[in-house]
Amino acid sequence: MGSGTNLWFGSPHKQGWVPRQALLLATALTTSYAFTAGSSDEAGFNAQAKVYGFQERDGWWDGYVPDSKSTGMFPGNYVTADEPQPAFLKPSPPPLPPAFNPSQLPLTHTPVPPPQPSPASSAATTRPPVAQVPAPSLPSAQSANFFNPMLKNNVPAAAAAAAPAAPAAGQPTPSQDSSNGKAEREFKGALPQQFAIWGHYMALYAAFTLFWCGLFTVLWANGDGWSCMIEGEWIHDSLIVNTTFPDCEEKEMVQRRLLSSASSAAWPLASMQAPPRELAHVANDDECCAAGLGGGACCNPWKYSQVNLGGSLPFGLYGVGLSVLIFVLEYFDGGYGLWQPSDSSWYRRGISPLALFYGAASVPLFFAIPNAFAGACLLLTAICQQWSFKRFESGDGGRRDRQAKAARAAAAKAKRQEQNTAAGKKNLEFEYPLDWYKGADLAFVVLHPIAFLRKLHQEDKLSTVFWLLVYFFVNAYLFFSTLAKFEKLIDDLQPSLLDGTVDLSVAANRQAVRFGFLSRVAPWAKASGGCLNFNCALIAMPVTKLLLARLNNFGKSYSKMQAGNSLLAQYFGRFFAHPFTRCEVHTLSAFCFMLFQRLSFELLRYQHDLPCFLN
Amino acid sequence: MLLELAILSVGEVFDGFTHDLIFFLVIFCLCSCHVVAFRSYVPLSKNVEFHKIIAKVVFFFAWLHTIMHFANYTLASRGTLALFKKFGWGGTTFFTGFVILLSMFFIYSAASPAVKNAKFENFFMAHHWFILFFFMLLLHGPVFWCWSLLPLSLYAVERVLQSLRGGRAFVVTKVEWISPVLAVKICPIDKAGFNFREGQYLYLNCPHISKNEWHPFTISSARGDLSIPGSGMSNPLRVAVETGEEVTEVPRPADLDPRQRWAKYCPLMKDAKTLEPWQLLDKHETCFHDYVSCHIKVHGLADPKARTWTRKFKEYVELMCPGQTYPYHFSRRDERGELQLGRRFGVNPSEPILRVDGPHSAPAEHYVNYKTVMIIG
Repeated sequence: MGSGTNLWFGSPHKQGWVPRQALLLATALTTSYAFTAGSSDEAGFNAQAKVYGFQERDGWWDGYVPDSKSTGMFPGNYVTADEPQPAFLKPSPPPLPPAFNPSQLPLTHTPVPPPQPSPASSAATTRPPVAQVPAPSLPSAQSANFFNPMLKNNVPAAAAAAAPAAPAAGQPTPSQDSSNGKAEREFKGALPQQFAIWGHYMALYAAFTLFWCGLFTVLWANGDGWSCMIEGEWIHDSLIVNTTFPDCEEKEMVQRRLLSSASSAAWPLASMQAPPRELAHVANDDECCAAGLGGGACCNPWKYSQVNLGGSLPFGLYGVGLSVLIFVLEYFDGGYGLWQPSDSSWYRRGISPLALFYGAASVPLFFAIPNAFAGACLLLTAICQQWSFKRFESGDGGRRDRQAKAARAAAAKAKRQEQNTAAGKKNLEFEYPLDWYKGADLAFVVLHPIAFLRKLHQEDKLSTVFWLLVYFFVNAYLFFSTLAKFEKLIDDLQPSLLDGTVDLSVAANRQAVRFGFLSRVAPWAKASGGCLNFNCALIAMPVTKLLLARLNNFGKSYSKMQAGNSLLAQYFGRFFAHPFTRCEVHTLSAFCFMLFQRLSFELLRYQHDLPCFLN
Repeated sequence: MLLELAILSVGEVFDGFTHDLIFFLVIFCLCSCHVVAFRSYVPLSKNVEFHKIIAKVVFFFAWLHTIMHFANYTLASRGTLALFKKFGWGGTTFFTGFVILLSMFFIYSAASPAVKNAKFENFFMAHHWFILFFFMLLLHGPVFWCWSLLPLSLYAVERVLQSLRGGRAFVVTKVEWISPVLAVKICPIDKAGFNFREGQYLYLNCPHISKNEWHPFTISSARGDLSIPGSGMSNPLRVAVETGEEVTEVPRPADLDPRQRWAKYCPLMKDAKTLEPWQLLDKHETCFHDYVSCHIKVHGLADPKARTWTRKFKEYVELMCPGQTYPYHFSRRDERGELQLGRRFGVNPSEPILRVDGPHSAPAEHYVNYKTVMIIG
């Protein structure tokens, strides 16, 4: 029925030939909420029903509701356009029930009643199909609609045919690059980039993790050492000096002896260095050792004491290299982490190429223990990025906006310089190397600290700076006190370990002799741990509104003291509130001070002549 | 301070009493001339910035801790293994550390403003890995429970209280549009439970937009706008329940039979003399309009898509009133079928239109303490 538009739409109660261009204008909509028709020209529907809109005006759709078989107006915000799908997944026209011949009855987007054989339809089979008449405006309007979920914001197809579809203001404009004549990529996805941005940051974090994990996979390729049974005691190799016994059943033998106190200076060096490579040739036969060495020393590092750290040189190097590659791929302006043009085949298939790469690249990471953590992070990154493609997110991560902004700034600067040159002025613009330096004038801080403090006070930043300094010094104190404590522990234990005076009745000391003690970097880990205790506990405090509200009302203000009923405020509040008091009591007390100072100097000069009570 | 230094430099010259007297004078004068409130010495309003600074410091130290432990393990692996069997419930420190770093991976990657602005739920849900983070931290660090006992329990109480406060029933009575500000008038069903002062703020949550997104807004109404029982204040604003228009009492006609009851009201915009008697409103068709109002500035109006929370909220309000013009007026029918002012549930009958967490105290509520108040807006 004619429904206010200049096009005629076929009613489902009647079958006949209609122009295909008109039929394709109907938009498939899904209702979000139930709507009750208020008047006769409105069409009501239930929630989650399929309806079809013909035209939208002033927020109202003129459409058709198949459930009630009624045509009328309904509010546009009660319905959402159906999920946009890639063109090849949703061919136009979609397949119809087999009873129909699609080429002859292209009633595709409007609802169709159950097929009823009628003379009209049988007669129609002989007619040339109207649908095959190419409509020049049709493909462009259709493809514009397929990737735009906000169909109601789109211009109607008839208008779209007359003029190219105006792009949404918030989206990058697909403009024609005039320099090389190449069309730019389009960014008209179903959704703006949401998970993609998270995936980008996840990838950056995973790359950071992977760098360190890869580094330690390399470093953990070899164990740190082994222990020997010497005179019935297990001794760690860092406490033993190298002595090579060349012959024991044609095997090279290494024995180490406890270091004397004279050579204790070599201890830290020995613990910092990796074990010497000739250890690989150590005998692996215990009996041989015992027989060959009269001292009763026996050592078999591979069998008893070597620790497998789970590292690997090739996998570690792979991890470090991959982390660098991820940083390059995810580079904010030039990389592909946030680059999702909607006209690429990857986008249409809903598959993220980067996610595929990350997922595949994370597999080898699981073959070495330290790398495995970074592998888990990278796998999660791949899942997040793939999910963003699955949701048909599209965008360039604000790259064009940033470029346009930089171009605008450069143009403005060039214009300023031009004006300066025209006015005969010098271009005195100094560019600070770093952004953060702009705010703080370092010379001002150094040369006029009092003035700087006053400026901070005037800007109401004094307390902020003060508490930040307090926070900084608390952290510094915790860090360095813990560091000193554990370094002292190591320093105290070392000499006694080396000269053999260590008290072996203490279990920890026995462990230190047998397995070696912690290295010199352990106190740094402990010190960071101390700071973490403080910071991780503190981090919950600023977001506890309960606490903030209490603290906000804590204490008294000056004017409250005036108004309050405390004795002090009652009798002295007004006195001290007076401007005279505010200024003059300071002067007065300063004057008093000068007086007393003068007097005291006088007293000092004549103290020998004073009476005893003043002396 | 300079005075004090000077006094100290000649401290041996005169006796303690003189020193104390002068110093008391100086300090007492200073104290009485300045504000002694806690908030003026601690920048409480910069709490989120401080939270972010701590987060950065935690990131730095967490990785320093990890890297240094890894380096130590490289250099002294057997000693480390032997020593660490004692800690972390039988050598689980590696596992708990791994889980802590994994939760940090989620939290930190989603904490960037770009992610938060793109989709708030990502940020919000990822931030809740903090539960696992702290749980594992308690297992990981042998003394961390001493440090975290007070802050974490306070935060837990805070979260419980927030959910309790957010569950209270509120109705939306009226929404006005003063471009670009949406003036929302809400009313608690239990007025006694919402005792607010001017300058305080509340958190609004619209479950239709996002179940977990809470946004702070200053309460823009005064205490008298919500007549709280027992507080001695009442709101004289009377409106028609059906249309939400303000009404005024029509004076009793002089020629009316004295036995006849007369309690008729007329909308302010209309002249009572031109209306027929049957067009006048009865008393039961009107009610007092008690409200708490928030003025919400709507961002992103130029954008064809509604991306900001405020814009989405505006569209949601418009969705509930199709075909009407501002100001929107909401009413409901109670279980007896009588028309009541305000509506609690939105298009989805199980979701309230707004959930409210508040009132929270803010520095602005101390404005009465100052002689000069400057309002910028």
